[in-house]
Amino acid sequence: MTRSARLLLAILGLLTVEASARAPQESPAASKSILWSRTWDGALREAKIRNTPIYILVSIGEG
Amino acid sequence: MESSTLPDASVISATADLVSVASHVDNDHSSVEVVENGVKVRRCTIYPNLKCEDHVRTSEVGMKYIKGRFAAPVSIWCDPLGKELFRRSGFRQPDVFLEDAKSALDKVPGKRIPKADYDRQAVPLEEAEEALSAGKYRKAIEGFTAALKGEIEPLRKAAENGMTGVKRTGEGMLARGRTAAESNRKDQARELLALIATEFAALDCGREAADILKKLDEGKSGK
Repeated sequence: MTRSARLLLAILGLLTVEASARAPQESPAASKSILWSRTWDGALREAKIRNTPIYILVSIGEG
Repeated sequence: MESSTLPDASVISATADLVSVASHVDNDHSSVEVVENGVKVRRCTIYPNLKCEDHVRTSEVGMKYIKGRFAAPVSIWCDPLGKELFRRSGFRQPDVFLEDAKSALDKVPGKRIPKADYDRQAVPLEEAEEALSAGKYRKAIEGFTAALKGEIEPLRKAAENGMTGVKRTGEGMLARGRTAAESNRKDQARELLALIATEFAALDCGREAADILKKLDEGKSGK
């Protein structure tokens, strides 16, 4: 491989790394997070149909 | 709940048997852009499956149970009808949270429907209900149609009611389109009928709108 070809590949590699660093990350919601209900009515409907307890976290700020 | 408790794998797994609601009182944190199913969306950094608007919407839920001053965080555990079973104050480490969850589950005996089974039918239903309230009829019809295929009867019933509402709306719009066509308000009729033919394409009213529109266009070209 010539020197210029190696240089070109290195530049392309850097561009790829930079592009992937800027790309939005894949959401962890599906597997790495508690699935919180989007509405209270939806939570009540789900809990009633699934026969599950409801857990309400009342918090403030980052806590 | 301790901040380290939220991402704990055993906690995430245990909450599959619960319905969880974030009653987050303020909104001084950031959101982040992520990709879900190939689509870029903004998500909250604390509650990763929600937009911040979602937990702002549920922020008042805790106040249904707590009156006056309180020390946050508070965990409120309720039965499936929303009646409080017990509450715990302060941060909860994963092992303590799991004990709380077990206590709540023990107080709600009986057969449960797994979340995956529920979501398979409930997610399209919720998307349809949201689309309907935003006037996106085509998307609403798709969602209601998918939810109608599920086996959970209360969700099927809700989808049926939703679909009945969509049909009524489409038929009302079709009546107005027909009246406009018959009263020689052709441009107005065309605009409305084209909308019905597109948005309600899967329903009788949509197909009928397309037929009337075709006849209007044939009449126009015949002149």
